[in-house]
Amino acid sequence: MLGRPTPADPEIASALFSKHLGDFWATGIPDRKGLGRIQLDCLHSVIAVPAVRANDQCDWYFVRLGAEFYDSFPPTAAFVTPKDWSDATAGGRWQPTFGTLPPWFGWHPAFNYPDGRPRQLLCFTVTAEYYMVDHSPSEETVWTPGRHTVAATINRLVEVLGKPYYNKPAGEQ
Amino acid sequence: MPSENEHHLHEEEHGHREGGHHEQETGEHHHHEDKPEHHHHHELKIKLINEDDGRNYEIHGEATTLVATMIEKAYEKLRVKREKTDRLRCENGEDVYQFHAMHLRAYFEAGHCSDHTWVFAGGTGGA
Repeated sequence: MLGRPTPADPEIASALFSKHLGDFWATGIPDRKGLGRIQLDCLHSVIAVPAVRANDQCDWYFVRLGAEFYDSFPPTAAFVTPKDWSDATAGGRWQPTFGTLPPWFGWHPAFNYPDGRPRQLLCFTVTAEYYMVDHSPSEETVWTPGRHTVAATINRLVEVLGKPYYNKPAGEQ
Repeated sequence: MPSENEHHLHEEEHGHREGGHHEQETGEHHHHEDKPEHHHHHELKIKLINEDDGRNYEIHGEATTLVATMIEKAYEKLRVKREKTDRLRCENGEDVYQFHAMHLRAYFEAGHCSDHTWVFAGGTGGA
């Protein structure tokens, strides 16, 4: 059982994060899925994900992944705006809505964290934020360094931003 | 004359893998290279993608190999203990475990996993 995330050594976290992202991109799978990748700094990258609606219409989203706690803990993750890569606001174009959700994923556009600062919570065991609030995941689902990498976070995000889960942008009537 | 499906299976055995970073099953490959040509006609391969770490593998079987055996081979390759919360799917999302009792050739000929790719994701918690 993991406790609360504790900051990683930035040099080690950056090296691991970069290596795991590079390894994943080298498989060719991200290209096949149409993903893009923008490095913001040593500890942060934005992943561009094409979300697919039930009618096959595509909407782009941008997810900022951070290695602040990597890889003792999974990456931090948040939907961001392409204007300045800041957190996407609840109810706006750059946050998604979902029709149904798989049992292993929760989405809170503005969650009240224990630190009192409301912000997004991509609520599944492959984001650091999941471990910042009280949860009781079963043992086999807990993030395990060596078994999980940032690829797990990206793959699960791509899955929920596709059929049958994704609906449309939150800002769309 | 071989059937259309036999042509397909034969082509698949010579297909190219996608992507650049792969874990090759060197032992199995070398073993097959030493076999007489006619043995190759029965070999079927499945590309295995581990979504938890992004790694790709290949597992090999024959027409009469059970899907259950291929699943066991997949777990050996993944080096993880099988858990109830695991998911093993085709790329179109179809569950693989349910076909455990089928023979591999029949499994493919019935139209399952037409791209011969399985995708593994270990259990995930959330919500």
